[in-house]
Amino acid sequence: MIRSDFYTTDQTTTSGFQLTGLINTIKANYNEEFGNPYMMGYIPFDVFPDLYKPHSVEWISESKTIIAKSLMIPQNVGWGYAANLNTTYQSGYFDLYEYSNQWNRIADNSDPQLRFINAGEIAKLNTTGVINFYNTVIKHDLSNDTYVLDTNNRQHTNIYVKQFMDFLNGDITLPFLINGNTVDIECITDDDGIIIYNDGTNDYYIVITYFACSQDTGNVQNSYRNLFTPYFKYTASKNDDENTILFMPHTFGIGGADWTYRVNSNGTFDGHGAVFLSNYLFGNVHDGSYNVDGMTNNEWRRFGNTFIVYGSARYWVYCSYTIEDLRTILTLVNKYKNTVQADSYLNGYDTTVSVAIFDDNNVPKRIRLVDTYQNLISKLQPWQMVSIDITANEFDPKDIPPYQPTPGDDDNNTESGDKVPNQFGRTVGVTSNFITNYLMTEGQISKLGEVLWTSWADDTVTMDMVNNFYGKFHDATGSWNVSDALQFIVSCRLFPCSLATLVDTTQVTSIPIGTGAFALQCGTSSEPNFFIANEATAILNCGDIYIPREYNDYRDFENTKITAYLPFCGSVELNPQDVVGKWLGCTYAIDLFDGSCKAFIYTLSGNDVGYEGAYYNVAIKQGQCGFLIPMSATQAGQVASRQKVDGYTDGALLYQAAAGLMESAMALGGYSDANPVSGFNRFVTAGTASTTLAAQRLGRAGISAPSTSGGSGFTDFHQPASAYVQIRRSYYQEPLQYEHATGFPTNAQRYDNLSQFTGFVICHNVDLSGFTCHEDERSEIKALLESGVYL
Amino acid sequence: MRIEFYNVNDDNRVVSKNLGSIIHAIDNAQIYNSTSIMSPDFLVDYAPYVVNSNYVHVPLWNRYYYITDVTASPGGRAVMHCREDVLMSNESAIRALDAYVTRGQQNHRDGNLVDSKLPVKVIRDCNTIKFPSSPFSEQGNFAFVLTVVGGKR
Repeated sequence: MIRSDFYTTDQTTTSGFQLTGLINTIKANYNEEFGNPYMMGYIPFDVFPDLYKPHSVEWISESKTIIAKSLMIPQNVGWGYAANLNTTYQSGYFDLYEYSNQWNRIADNSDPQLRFINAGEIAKLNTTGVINFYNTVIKHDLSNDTYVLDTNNRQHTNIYVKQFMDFLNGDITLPFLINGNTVDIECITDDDGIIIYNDGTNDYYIVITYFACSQDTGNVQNSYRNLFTPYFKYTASKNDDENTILFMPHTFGIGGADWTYRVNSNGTFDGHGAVFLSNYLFGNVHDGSYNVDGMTNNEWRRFGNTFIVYGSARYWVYCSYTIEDLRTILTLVNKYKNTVQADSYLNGYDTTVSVAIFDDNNVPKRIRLVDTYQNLISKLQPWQMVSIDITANEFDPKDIPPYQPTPGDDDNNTESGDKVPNQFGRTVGVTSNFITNYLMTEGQISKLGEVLWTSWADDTVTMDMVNNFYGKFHDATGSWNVSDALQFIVSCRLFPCSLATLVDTTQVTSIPIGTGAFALQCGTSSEPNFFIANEATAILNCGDIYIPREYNDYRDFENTKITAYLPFCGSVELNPQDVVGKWLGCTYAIDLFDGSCKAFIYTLSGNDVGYEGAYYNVAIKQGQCGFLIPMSATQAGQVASRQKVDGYTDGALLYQAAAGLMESAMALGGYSDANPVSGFNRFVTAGTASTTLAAQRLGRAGISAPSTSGGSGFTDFHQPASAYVQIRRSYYQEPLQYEHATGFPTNAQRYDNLSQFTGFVICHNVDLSGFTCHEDERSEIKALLESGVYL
Repeated sequence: MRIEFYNVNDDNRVVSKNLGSIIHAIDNAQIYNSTSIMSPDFLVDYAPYVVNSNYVHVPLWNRYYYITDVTASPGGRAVMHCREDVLMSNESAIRALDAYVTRGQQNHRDGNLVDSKLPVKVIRDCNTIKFPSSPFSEQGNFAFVLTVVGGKR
């Protein structure tokens, strides 16, 4: 058993109220850009007087201040104890009470023994008011093992917390439940603010809620006053503007013992008649009586930004938001905090926010090591009191959540609506008849070879091919007239994808060659048709991926290596600052003429999806995915050479291969013997002939030397066929007490008054002008400030 | 000279020391020999509060001192060696100081600033994210492109 010794004093201290927040809790779970969103806040002042308004009493003339002040005066309220049951709870200090036959205060803020309960050890509160002690060192909930000793060495195991606010200084007392002659403290002090919980699925919700519940002790016994105060009374959309901030909670409801309502899309409770406007959560709650789930005549009263439901049961209210909404909330809080008028958007609320975690039953602030929170708990840093006054933070554009378009569809077709840059929507048509690409199947290519060679080599069979080429390409005397079929075949390439769906095509049944007087009939019985590629390039869209952030700070970029693997292009390193936290798209453009390809990796970071301006290329990688199919011995040799000789470019290969074909054809044509077998033999041996004429002919045919690109041949087909991105991040180990011992780089980096800081600080190049001390003292002060002091 | 004795447990780098309750105060302390105001020696009565304290306040000088050592002398006297706590002595001026603060607590942290002091393990976590669509066929589904001169009619 772990013992905590607290001692009583007679002194009650009034001080500010501050909720405990969690540092570095689960932000990794929602990829939040915002630096420190898990802060605490003060309860809105508006809440206060309403809490104590008895059911049957109408406050007419009393101001809130008067009412509040009266409640702060210790007084006997009729059940045996004074009003000093209030508890101070600030900066890790709080009052402890125990209840036997009456409330006994066993420790308070002024007790020095209590001060050792520092922020790292402070208890967390659950809804029943029992303190959960959480040891941050061993990360263990000590609640069941903790007791308190008072000055008489009495042991107390049921420990309650009571709070006492200094409302005149902006703090607000929170309500407590009073039940007849006994007193239960509703420790709702931590039931406000943004609460994040996991619903057991993959979604994390942010719950923003204020609620209070107390039982009337006035004329109406056994009646509960349920107070609901939405933290944000507006709906915020991503496209908000200055005047129409809209914030629609993901869900909103009021729950009782066993019922829950949700506001439907019309802003009304489903089937229960209580009217709410969707853009103002409680703005139009009208006083009146409503029947709620069988409980009739629940009285609803609205007081400013809160409303109270009087009824026979305690209710709770919740609003939950998606993670995306949280970004919006935090951004808006940051943005409008200092700019909006009181009673405008925020209605005078202090807009600092607090965070807690709901348990499975949506009970706030019950921090437990349960399965559903295992991942969250594992990320918990030591409990610490934190207080970030976001009013001090100016709106910074970097806090705007990045635009995150939804990924495009997953097919590799570039279609209307696909989220690919328009640059890939351009068509590169074939503008001349000098050259034509035919998309063919393997069977058709095989048929082509049969037409070209098989019949050609057999002079005992008169084939169309032979007749055509021998008869038409040579004159009656057998002398050279024009080249043979191969003269007109520039190349045949294999592409590792189905191109017919990627380019605009025209269906044909034969391949005219040369002047078009002759056509190669290469269709097969099952695939009789060919497709002319009307475009010079094919576009392949690989889809979009999101590169997540891990730490949500500089560590996402520092010591991080991101590499994109692009099939047939190799790997390319990406700058983390270009891609982390963004959607990445990848699209290939394939040149059907030379088989080269370019992979484009780009970010989809703009709002205007579909415009080039919305995309930013972060990497372009050239490669080769169309591989030459040798059609002659010369070509085969050249393909082999390309695979063996470094630096032998594919473009040159194509050029020379085509030239070799041409030269072979010409050599064949110049052969006086028209014997096709001899002609074929000449094909085989003519590869080393001059390419000059062939080059000239290619030039006349409108073919320029293709661009050069790397390629390693058919072995590339054995590489992974999908593009992917590899993210390699280094582990960072934050030592215990790192904040205390080392501190963090500050957002100050500015000339600021040290009174703004607490804890460990290191200053740079301190200027002690104006210090009225001796020189040695000045030097020592300077040295200490620049090496680190605790403010 | 008046000297107030305290027992302070705060780290020397804490600007505002928690003095706690005053242990003792004397008005008859004497300066021992010529001494620096930053590291003075005081001649005091040898008393328990002298050896049980570690911190003193000299109101006349408006300065706070650490007691670095105590030398017992004959005759019930002791020489108390002190060193000034320049932070506490200039607490208000320091808090009012404008300065560039490069490191601080969590609530002033700027996550976008590189923290060069945070230990980094060279072990790297590798995460691979595959683009959803495979541009090239894993199996089969090839295409042949036959490029011919002319041919389009």
